[in-house]
Amino acid sequence: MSLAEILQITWLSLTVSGLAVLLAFLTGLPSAIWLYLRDFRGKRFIISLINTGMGLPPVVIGLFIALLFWRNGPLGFLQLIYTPAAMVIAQFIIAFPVVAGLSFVAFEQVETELLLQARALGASRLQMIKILINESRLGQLAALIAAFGGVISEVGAVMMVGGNLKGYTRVLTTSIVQETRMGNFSAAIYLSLVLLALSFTVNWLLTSIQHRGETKWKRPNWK
Amino acid sequence: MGNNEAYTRGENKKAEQNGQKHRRRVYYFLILVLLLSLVTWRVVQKPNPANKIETATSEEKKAGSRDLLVATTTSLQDSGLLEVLIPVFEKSTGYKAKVIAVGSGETLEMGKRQSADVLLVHAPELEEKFMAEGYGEERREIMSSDFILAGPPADPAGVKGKTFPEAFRLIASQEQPFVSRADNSGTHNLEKRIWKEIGLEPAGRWYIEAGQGMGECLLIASEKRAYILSDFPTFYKMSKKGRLELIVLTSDDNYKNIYSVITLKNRGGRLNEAGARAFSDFLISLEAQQLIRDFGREPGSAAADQNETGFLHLFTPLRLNSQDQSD
Repeated sequence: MSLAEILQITWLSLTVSGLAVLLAFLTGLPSAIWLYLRDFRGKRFIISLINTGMGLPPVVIGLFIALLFWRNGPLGFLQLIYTPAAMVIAQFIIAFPVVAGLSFVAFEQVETELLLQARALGASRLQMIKILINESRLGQLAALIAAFGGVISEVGAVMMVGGNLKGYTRVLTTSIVQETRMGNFSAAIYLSLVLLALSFTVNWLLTSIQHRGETKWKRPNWK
Repeated sequence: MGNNEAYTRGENKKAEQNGQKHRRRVYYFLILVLLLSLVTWRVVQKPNPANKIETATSEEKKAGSRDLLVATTTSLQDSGLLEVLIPVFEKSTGYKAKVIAVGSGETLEMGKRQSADVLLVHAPELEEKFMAEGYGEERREIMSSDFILAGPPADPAGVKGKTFPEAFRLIASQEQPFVSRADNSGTHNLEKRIWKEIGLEPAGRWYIEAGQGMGECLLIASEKRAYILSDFPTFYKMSKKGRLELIVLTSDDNYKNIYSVITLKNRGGRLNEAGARAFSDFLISLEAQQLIRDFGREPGSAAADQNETGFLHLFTPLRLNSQDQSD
C-alpha cells in the first residue's frame, strides 16, 4: 500500500465522517432546541426514540440505506449506492441521534431561572436561544466529540453502502477489515494507528475549542 | 417554618410514592422484555443436531481436545455445504468442530500462527507456498467447483461463450466495468493469473477493486452493471435470492476452483492433531464425498437449473472414484 493511497484513504475518512457530523450538528442542534422549548404529548416517546437511535448498530443503518439505494430499491434512481455520498448519509443517520440526544441533555442542565431572568430583562426569543446554546457549550461539544468518535470508527455502514472500492469509497476502517481478512496483520495495525492518530487530533482540537480561553480546569478548589 | 417543613415532608413522601410506582413500572417492563426475549429465543432456536452432540460430548470435552478449530473461507461457509458435512463429522467422530470463516489470506495466516487446528481453503498458489514454507503437514485436494464469468444480460463486451482469456481481453480492450475481489482470495488469485496470461495490467476507472467477499462483490457488480469472475456456488446462491441482475456468460474448464484440507505441522504443542487428522480423513471418506456430490441437488435447485446454466453440481468431489486407493 503506497503512502499516497494511505493519505487518500485517511482524507476520505476525515471528510466523510466530518461532513456527516457537520450535517448532524446543523440539523440535530435545532431539533434539540425545538424539543427543549416545546411541551407536548409524546415528548418522552420521542426522546426515548432518539436515545435508542444512539445505540443502533451501524450495520443495521447500513442495511436500511443499502435497501433504499440499491438499484431496484425505492431511491435507486438517485444512483447513490457505492458512492461517498451514500456513506455520508449513513454516517449522518448514525450521528444525528447522538448530537440531538446529548444536546437535549445539555440544555436540560442549563438553569431555567437564567433564561427567565433574560426574558424579564427583555431578551427576544432568538437571544434566549443564544444564551441557551452558550450556556450549554460544554455539552454541545461533548455531543460533537461523541458523534465524531462514533462515525470515524464505524465500519458496518460504510462497508455496506460504500463497498470499500479502491480509490473511491475505501476508508480507514474498511481497509483495516480488508487487510485483516487478507492476513496482513501488520498493515492492519499500521492503519489502526493512523486511525487513532486522526481521531486523537480531531478530538484534541474539539477539546481545545471546548475549553477555549480557559487557563485553569474547572474543579473544586480545595487545598 | 413548621408548616413549611410539614409541607416539604408531604411532598417528599408523594415524590417517594411516585418514585416507587415508577420503579415498579420499570421492573414490570424489564420482566416483560425478559419473557419476550425468552420466547423469541425458543422460537428462533431450531432443533439442531450439532447442539445435541455438544451436550453429549460435554463430558469428554472436559477431558480435553474434543474441540476442533476449523479455519475456512467465508465463501465456503456461505455456500452452506459445511452445515451438511460438519454434523455428520461430529456424529461419527465425537469431535466438536468450530468453524471460523475468514478470508483466504487470513485462513493461511491463522494456520501459520497455529490459531486453528485444520484449514479448509481454495487458493492453490497460496497453499503451495504455505506448504513449501513448511507450515503444513499434509494437503489433500477434496473437491472442486466451477468458475464462471458473470455480467449484465446485455453483454456489451460480447464475451458469451468465450474462454476466460479471450473474455478478459475483450472486457479490457473496451474498458467495460469489471469488479475485482482484490483481496488476495483464491478467486482473486485466479483473476490475477488470467490477466498475467494475456499480458495485461488492469487499471483505470473501469477496473473496480472492491476488496470484499464474493457475495458483496457480486452485489456491487450487479449494481454497477459490471463483469465479474466468481465461483459458481456463490453465484448460484446469490442469484437464487433474486437480487442479482447478472447472468452466467461463460465458464472455462481450464480453470477450476480446487478446495483442499490442510493439516498443520505441530510447532507449539497446542494443536488438536488427532482431530485435524480425523477431519481430513472424513472429508475424503466415501460418505463425505457423496454428500459433496449430492449437495444442492434437491429438486428445484442446481440440477433443475442445469439447462439454464449448464451446471449439474455445485461441488464436484475429487476422491469419489479413487475410494479403493489408499492415501
